[in-house]
Amino acid sequence: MLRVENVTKTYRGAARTVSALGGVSLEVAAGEFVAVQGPSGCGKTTLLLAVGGLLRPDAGRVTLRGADPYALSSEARAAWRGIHVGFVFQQFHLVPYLTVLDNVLAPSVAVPSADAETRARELIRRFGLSDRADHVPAELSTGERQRVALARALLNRPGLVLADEPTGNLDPASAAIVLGHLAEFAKSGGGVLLVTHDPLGAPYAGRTLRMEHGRMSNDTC
Amino acid sequence: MDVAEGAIGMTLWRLVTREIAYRRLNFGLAVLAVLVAVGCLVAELTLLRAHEVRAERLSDAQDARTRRMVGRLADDYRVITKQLGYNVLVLPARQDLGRFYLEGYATETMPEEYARRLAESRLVTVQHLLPSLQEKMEWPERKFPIVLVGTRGEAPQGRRDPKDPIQPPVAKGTMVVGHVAARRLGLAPGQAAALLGRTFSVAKVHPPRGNEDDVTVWIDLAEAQALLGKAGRINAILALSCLCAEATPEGIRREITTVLDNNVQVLELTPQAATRRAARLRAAEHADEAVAAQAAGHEQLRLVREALAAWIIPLVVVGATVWVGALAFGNVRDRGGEIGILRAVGWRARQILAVFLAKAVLVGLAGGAAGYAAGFAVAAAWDAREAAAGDGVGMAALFGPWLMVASVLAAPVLAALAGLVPALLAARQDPAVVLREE
Repeated sequence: MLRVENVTKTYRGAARTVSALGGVSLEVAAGEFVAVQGPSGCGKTTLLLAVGGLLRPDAGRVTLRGADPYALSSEARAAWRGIHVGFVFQQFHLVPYLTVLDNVLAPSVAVPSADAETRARELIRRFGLSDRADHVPAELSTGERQRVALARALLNRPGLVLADEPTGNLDPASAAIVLGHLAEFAKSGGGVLLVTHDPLGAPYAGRTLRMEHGRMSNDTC
Repeated sequence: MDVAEGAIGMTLWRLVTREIAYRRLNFGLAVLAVLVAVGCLVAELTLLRAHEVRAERLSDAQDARTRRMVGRLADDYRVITKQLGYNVLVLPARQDLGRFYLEGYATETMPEEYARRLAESRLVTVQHLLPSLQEKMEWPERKFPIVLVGTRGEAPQGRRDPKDPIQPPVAKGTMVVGHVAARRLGLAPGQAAALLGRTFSVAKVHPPRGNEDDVTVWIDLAEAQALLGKAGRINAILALSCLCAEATPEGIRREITTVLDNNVQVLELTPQAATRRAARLRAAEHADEAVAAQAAGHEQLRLVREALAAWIIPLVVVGATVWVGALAFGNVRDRGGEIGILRAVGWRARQILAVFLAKAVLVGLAGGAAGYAAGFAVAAAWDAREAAAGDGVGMAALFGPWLMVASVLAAPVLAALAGLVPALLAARQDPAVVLREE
């Protein structure tokens, strides 16, 4: 489903240049949960942004179900993201003034759907947040916030979920819940690419890759 | 619009309104900026409008007052002029004017028939004709110098409407005596007095007049002609009270000499009338100048206020625009993470742009409406203060619907323009940068 071929990305600053990705290649099949593990600064987030159509690689190719998002215009790529990709971040990135329901509904602006609210309420229920639907993020625990972020990522039924350190701010119990949901999504046929420095995700992933200095050090850990 | 599109609008709107509720201070400060700008603008324009109404009212009142005054003055002069008229004296052409001025009367004579010819002519400028024969002499029986005047009153003017005689005739066998002569000679009404061998009854003694009339004796013209041996002769015709508006001394002189075949000369006796008419016109001119000067003063004040407004208003508007723009920049900076995640979940740049512009438009709408209300309230309070001094123009005159509509419509446009650059920056913000940094 997802194919990353020899992708490179270098950040060029005034003082120095940093090679974040030095020719990364990987594949994620439909229904596969792949974890990419590595220390901070090894290029995991850059890889995720490049895969998600948010950061154009300097070289190499990213395709999702055969389509190259970088062949699209910026606006078309945004729409493509809304349809095909779901994001989960360590910092949750919830909109602070929107309720749980509205946060989950946010992607429906990009991909309008008549049953968006029904779907959002169903996800909220499934993630155990029914009694929190009208709460704002500040009123939630960190675990609840990440579950809201996960529900938001799944609203448009994407083919691929990209998770960047989703358990970084969570206690083990909450982390287990989030990882469990990601694994459940993979089991239902979706692809999951998890990047983390935390080994906690490995048991849930079908395959774990190791990344160091912008390169995959080996295929599996 | 289908259901899905409706859902888009609803969510965008919800996002905008909830963000406003969440960042009330940011929104409030932006609204305050627009409020101050629109308020200043509305107050200034409303006060300018009040000033114009007040100036117009004052000008109208002053104009009316001046017109009334000039009208009264014109009436006064018309009455005075009517009373004075253009009085001319018709003398024989042979009369030496130097001697006339020295003696005080004409020594030459002319036919009395001239008076009839003048009366029956088509003269339109002379209303009264008084033929007379006079001579300075010593009253032989009394040994007292007098001016003997033979008069018959007015010459009848057959073609005209009868006028009230301004000088009544002296009845035959009677005399009218001037004040000084009567006192010196001990004459009183009813007494008999001999003059040039003929006895007259004193019909009237004039009160003092302070001129040669006080030593004058008036008798019937025919009797005077007989007594002086000048039958059918007169030495002057007084043409009195020319009331025709177009009449000029030159015109009267020309008409009379034409009728009398150039056998006479005509002296104008009352040039004051022309002077007064000129004075009346000059008074009207001065009044017009005063009104014009006052209007010019008001116009000058209006121009000064407009010039001031021309500086203040753009300054306030630019200040408010910068303020709103700066707040919008701050808002974009504060919402970097939010913009990043919304872009990540698929929002288009134009949807981000719409969110920020919608907020700017709401800022403008709220600020415009509140600013109009505040500006109008300031102007109304100012007018109430003026009203206490009796110079208010009233709410109805102050209220300008076009200004209210312009405020409510223009403020959102200006606010949107002020927020456009920050909104564009937000829309073009690279979500990868934000998400990576956070």
